Amino acid sequence: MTDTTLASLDADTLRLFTDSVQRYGQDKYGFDTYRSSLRAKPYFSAQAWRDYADMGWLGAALPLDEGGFASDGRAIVALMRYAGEHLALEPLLASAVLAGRLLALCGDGAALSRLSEMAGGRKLFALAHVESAGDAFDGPVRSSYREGRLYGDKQVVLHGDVADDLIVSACESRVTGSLSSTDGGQPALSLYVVDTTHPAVRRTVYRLLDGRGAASFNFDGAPATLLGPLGKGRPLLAQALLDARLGLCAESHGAIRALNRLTLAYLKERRQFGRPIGMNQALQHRMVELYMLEQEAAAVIGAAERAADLAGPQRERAVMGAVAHTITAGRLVSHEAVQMHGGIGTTDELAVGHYFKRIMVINRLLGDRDAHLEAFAKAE
Amino acid sequence: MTDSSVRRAVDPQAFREEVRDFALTLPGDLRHKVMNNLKLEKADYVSYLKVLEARGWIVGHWPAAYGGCDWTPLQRFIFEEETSEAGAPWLIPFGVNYVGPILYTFGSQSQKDRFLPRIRSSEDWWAQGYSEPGAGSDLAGLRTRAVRDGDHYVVTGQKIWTTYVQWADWIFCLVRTRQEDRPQKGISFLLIDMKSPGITIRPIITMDMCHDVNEVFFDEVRVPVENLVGEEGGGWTYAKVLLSNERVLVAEVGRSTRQLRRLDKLAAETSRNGKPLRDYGPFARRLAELKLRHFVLQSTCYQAVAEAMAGNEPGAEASLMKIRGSELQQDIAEAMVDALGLAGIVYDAADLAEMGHTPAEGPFEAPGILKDHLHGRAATIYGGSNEIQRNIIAKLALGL
Repeated sequence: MTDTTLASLDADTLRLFTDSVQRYGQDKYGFDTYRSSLRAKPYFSAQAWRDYADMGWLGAALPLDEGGFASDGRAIVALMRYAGEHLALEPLLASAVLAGRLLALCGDGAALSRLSEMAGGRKLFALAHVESAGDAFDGPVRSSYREGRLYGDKQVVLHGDVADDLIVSACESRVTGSLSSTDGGQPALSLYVVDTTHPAVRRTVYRLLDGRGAASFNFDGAPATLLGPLGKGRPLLAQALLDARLGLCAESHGAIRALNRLTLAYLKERRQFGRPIGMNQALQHRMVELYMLEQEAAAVIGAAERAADLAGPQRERAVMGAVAHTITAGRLVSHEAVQMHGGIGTTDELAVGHYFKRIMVINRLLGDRDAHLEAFAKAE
Repeated sequence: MTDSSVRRAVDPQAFREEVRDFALTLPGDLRHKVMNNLKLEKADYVSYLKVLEARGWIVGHWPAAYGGCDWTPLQRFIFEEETSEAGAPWLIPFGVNYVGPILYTFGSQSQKDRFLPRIRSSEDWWAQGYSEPGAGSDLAGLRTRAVRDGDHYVVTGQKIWTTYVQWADWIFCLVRTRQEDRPQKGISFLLIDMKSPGITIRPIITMDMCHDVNEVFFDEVRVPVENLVGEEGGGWTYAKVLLSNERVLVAEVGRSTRQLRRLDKLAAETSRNGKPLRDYGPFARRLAELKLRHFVLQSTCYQAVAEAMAGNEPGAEASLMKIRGSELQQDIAEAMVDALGLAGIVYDAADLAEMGHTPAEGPFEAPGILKDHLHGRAATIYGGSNEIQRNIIAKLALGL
C-alpha cells in the first residue's frame, strides 16, 4: 500500500484550485445548466463532466503520486462545496471522492490502473455496499465471493445507473466464518471491482428524489477482481467513508450557503403590509438562527479537515460530529427557506425546492443523523 | 341560521358509531388510494361526494332549510374526524364548506335557487380565487379589479395557488370594486363561470412534481351583475365569516390519527440494526413525542368544540389549532420518511398514479410517504400562514 493519508497541500495550490472551482460554478454551472441536465439521461451534464476531467478536478481526492491533483481534505471540501452550491449533478461524490479514495487506499495494481481511468473521466465508478434499503447505511453484508465470481444484491447505488465499474463489498468464502476482531464481530469483508456490463450483472435503474440517477444490482456469478488486501474491506471502507462524509458535509454547506443567500434576499425584497417582510423582528431572528447554523457548519467542516492528521478515533469523532451538525443545519435551513418564501418556495420553478430535495438526499445518503450522532459519541 | 333550541338532542357516541359504520362502506379502491397517498382524480373526489349525497350527509352541517342535517359543531367534528381517520378522501370544501354557506347566508334568493342544489348534487365543481401573487398573507392587498360596465363587471387580474381549478365549472373570487381608504372596504365577492371568455389557467408544478395548484388569469372577463354576492364592498366580511365557520376543522386531527397509525405500523415492520425500528431508542422516543402532541391537539380541538356548543364566540383558538395541527402533520410526515431509511431518497411521482405500482426501493407506501412530506411543507403556509396565525393570537388573545 502506498502512503494514502490525506497530505497537506500548499496554500497557493489550494487557493488556485478553490478559485477555479468557484469561477467555473459562477460562469458555467447556473440553475439552467442544472435544470436542463435533469431532463435527459445521464441526468447530469456530460459537458461539465468532461470539463472537470480536463481541469484535473477528478483527481482532487487522490495523492499526487497517483496522477492525482491533490490529496488534501481541503480539496475535497472545495470540490463538494461547489457541488452543493450549484446543485451539480455529476458523480463527484460517488466516483471522484468515494471511489477515488477507495482505489487510492487499496493501492494495489488492480486499483491503481483503474484510478487513472477514473481521474481521466474515462470510467465512472460507484460504491455498491448497502443491501437493505430500509436499514441504516452500515447494515449487514451478505453478498459473497467464490472462485472469482460474485453473488448477491446491492441497493440504492448513487449513479449506479451510469457506473461502468462497481466497487462491491462482499464476504470471501475462505474468510467467512472467521470473525475478525477489527470488524466488531462481523464477518470480514473484502472489496471487489465488477464490470457492470457483464451479463451476470442485473441492474435496475431509477432516480433519486433530487433527480440524480441510481440503481439496484443483482450479481449472479459476475466476474470480480479483488481490490486491496483480502479481508480488509471494512477498515478500508471506514476510512474512505470518512473522506466521503467530509465531502458530504461540504456539499451540504454549499447548499446551505446558497439557500441562506436566497432566503435573505427574499426577506429584503418581498413586501407585505407595506414593508419588506425582513423588517419583522420575528423573521430577523429566524434568519439569524440560519446564519449561525451556516457559520457553525463551516467551523465543524474546518475542524474535520484539520483532523486529517489525527489518530483514527479523533478523526472519526470530528467527521461524524460535523455530519451530525450539518444534517441539523441543512434540515432547518431548507425547511425555513421554503417557509419564509411562502407558496412560491414550494414550486418546482424556484431553486429553493430543488435545494430542499438535495438536502433531503444528503441527510440520508450515508446514514441518518442518529447514526452519526451515535458514532460521534462512541468515538470519544 | 337555525335556532339551536330546535335541534334534536344527539348522543355523540351513537353518532360516532354511525359515521364509523358508514366509513367502512367506502369503496375499497378509494380508501386504498387515500391510505397510500396516491393520486386522486376528479372522478375519485366526486365519487366520494356522491356516496355522501346518497347517505344524506353531503351537507350535514347546513341548515335543514337548505337540505342539510342541522349538525351541531360536535357532530360536524366527529364526522370529519372519523371519516378522515378511516381513509375517506379530502372532502373538497370549495362548494359544500366554502361558497355554499356564504350563498345561503348572504346570497340572493335566485343565487340560492340556482347554485345550492348543484352544490348538493356535485354537478358544479367550485374553485376558490383568493390569493394573488402580491396578496397571500396580506390578502386585503389584492388587486384583481372588477369594473362595472352596464349590467356586467369586467374582471381583470390574476389569482394564484388555485387548487384544482383545472376541473372547475365555477370560481368564487374576491375582487376589488373600489379603491377605498381601508383596502378591505373595496373588496367584493363574485361568482365567475369558468367557461367565460378571457380566463386562462397555467398549471403550477410543486416540488412533489404533482399538479394540484394553478395560476388563473382574467383578461377583461365579463361577469353578470347578478353574480355579485351580497353588497358591493361586502366581500371581506363574508369571507371572514366563512373562515370562522371552519375553525375547528383546520387542525385535521383525524388525518393525523390515521398517519400516526400508519407510522406505528411502519415502525413495527421496518428493521433497523437488526431489530424493529419501534424498539430503536431514538425512534421510539420520537414516536412517543408525536403521540403526545397528537393527544394535546385532540384535547384542544374538543375544548374548542365545547366552546362552540356552548354558543361562545370563537377567539384565537382556531389559530392555535391551525399552527399545532400543521406542525404535527409535517413532523409525522418527516418521521415516516425517516422510517423508510435509504428508500426515503428514492422518488418517482409517476408511481402515485398507479394503484398497484412497485416502487424501485422500499415498501409499497414509499412514494406516497415522500409525496405527503413534500406536499405537506405547504401546510404551514396555506390557509393563513403560521406566521399570520401567530400575529392573530398576539393581537386577539394577548392584546399585543
